[in-house]
Amino acid sequence: MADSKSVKNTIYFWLLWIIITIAGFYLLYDYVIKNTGFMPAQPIQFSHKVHSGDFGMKCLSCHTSAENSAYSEIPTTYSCMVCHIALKNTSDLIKPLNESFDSLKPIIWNRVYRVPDFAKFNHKVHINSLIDCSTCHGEVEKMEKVYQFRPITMSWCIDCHRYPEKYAIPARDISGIFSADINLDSLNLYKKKYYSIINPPYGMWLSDVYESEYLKNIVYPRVYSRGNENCSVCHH
Amino acid sequence: MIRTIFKWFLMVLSSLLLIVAILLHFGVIKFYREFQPFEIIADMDNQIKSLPQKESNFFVDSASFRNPVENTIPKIGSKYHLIDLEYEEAENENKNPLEPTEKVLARGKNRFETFCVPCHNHDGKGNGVIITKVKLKEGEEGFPAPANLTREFTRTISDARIFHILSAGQNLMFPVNYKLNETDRWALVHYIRKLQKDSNIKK
Repeated sequence: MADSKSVKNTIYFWLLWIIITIAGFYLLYDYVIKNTGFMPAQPIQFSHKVHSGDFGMKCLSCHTSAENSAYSEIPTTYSCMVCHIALKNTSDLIKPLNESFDSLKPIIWNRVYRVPDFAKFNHKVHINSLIDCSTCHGEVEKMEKVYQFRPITMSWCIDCHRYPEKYAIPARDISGIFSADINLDSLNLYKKKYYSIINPPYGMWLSDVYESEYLKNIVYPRVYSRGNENCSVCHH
Repeated sequence: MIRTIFKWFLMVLSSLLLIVAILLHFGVIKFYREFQPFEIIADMDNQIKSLPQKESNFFVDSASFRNPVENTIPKIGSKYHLIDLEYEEAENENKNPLEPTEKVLARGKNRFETFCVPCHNHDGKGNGVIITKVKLKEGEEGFPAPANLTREFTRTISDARIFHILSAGQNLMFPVNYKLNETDRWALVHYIRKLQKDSNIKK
């Protein structure tokens, strides 16, 4: 016959252990996998708050290739020198820029956001669908030093693809996203290809969200092969 | 005795962990750090392949991508071959393929707002943020005043000449052809013309 006190004690201990393991694993997950708040040191003390917040420069004026390629570039020395060839050129903060401009050696910035190599992310598609940069990157125009704002995990991607009305932010003015159709007919430089597949590939999953009122501003992928839960959309 | 101390220790630890985890989850507190965390299984995260703007150990200049051979013709658009002082040749060669439709003007406005506004301002009169808002410390040079796009000289010159300035640069202005393709530059020309008309009306 067990003593009632000792039974209480063992239950109590078990509870504590369970709480410790669960909370500990959550903290580990937050640190290792979510990795939000990662703020690497940069070779130049560049402030997005001054350039974008105070002066109102658009995101796409430096990260131009986000509009027409999968990869959003880290701007070259040349694109900094458009202004800093004269503006504050003698300042100490601009010194590494000048050196790199004269010696033709690129400045090596440290990467903040990193999609794992087995997955791919296409900036062009998201920006042409009028999804704002701040959906993933946060309000960079208020950050002195850029840090990772959202976890780049599979659950983050899929949550947003399933319920975009919860997470996706329509294009704001500061990002400089072109809201009309990008096809300029006379030259036909940009041609969009549409695929019609009668039987959608495996992993397809269409939700009721497509008819949501919130999404009227966003051109949502309605084409079958670009469905939101097709494995090969993100994986090779 | 040891049992009670151990009990208290567990209690404090669990409550601390729980509170921190809850606060972190709801974003009340945030930890910033400069170093990247260890990776549990890093084999597939870091594959041996070259990615855009990634350093490579294979080539001498440590760039992972090779430049195209000389005289390569780009798939989209064409490389601008004139330098900034050859504007007379440019006037003969360049012809605007676009017409100022609504779509083209919208594209031109978007491009103007992103690339030109910091210097030339929203109305094109040349008193942008670069002059008005930049605070200079002692011994630092400012940017000389950008050109007024609505002045008479800019009105009289041809579309081809403006396109030439955009793609080859002029004085301190760097060429923008490395950021904007041909269509965008021609759309910009149309938008600049529209700005000039608008400034007429206000007078």
